Amino acid sequence: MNFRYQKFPVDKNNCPFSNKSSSLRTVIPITFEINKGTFSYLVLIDSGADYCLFHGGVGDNLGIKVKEGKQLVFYGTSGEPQKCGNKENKLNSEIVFFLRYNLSIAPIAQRIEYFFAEEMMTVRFCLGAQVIFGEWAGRECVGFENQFPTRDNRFNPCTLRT
Amino acid sequence: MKIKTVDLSKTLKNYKNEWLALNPDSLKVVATGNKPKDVLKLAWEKGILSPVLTKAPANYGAYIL
Repeated sequence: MNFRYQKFPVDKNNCPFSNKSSSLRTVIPITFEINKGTFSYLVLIDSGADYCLFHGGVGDNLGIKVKEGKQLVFYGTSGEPQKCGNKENKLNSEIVFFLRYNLSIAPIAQRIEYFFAEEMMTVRFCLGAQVIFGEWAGRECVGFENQFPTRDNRFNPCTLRT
Repeated sequence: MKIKTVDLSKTLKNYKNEWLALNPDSLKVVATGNKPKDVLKLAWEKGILSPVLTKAPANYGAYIL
């Protein structure tokens, strides 16, 4: 599948280039189908990420008790530990939840693991798209226009059914 | 080479630290709020069948992964 890069605003007070007004990011929408309805969610593709990380608010919407998750620690480029968690052991984590879902991205369907981070915006894992979509997506099935050009450049969402 | 993009920069630049629901066709903001549940509910009530959910960050500073 091919997608278009998405343009996001930049903070001009924290940018070395005076004429830069936006940043291009590898962001795609994925679609959740839940009982209440359907919604898409913007995710940032990071082919080097070990896991897929969702904002805890999305987990809440999917009926997942994020705050019952086991606390884990993730590390980013800052080197500072950033806490996350999964559901396998109940701790008083207020941050993250871990679960497996069937993810269908036609024509590939795979079982994939997600982490939910309630404080993702605080730790600033990503701006604009509150998700790191991990190595599987980056490696297997997602390309971006002009990077891997094809004739079909439609903006097709992936679908996650719960 | 000009890269074709989906431009969210103008849509998002006026919003900070809140959840947004966008119209999937026009990518205009149709609902805002502090909780994704509330934002989605508002968007669905406005007749947007599959709104695009995202959260505007507190600032748009540069980042690396």
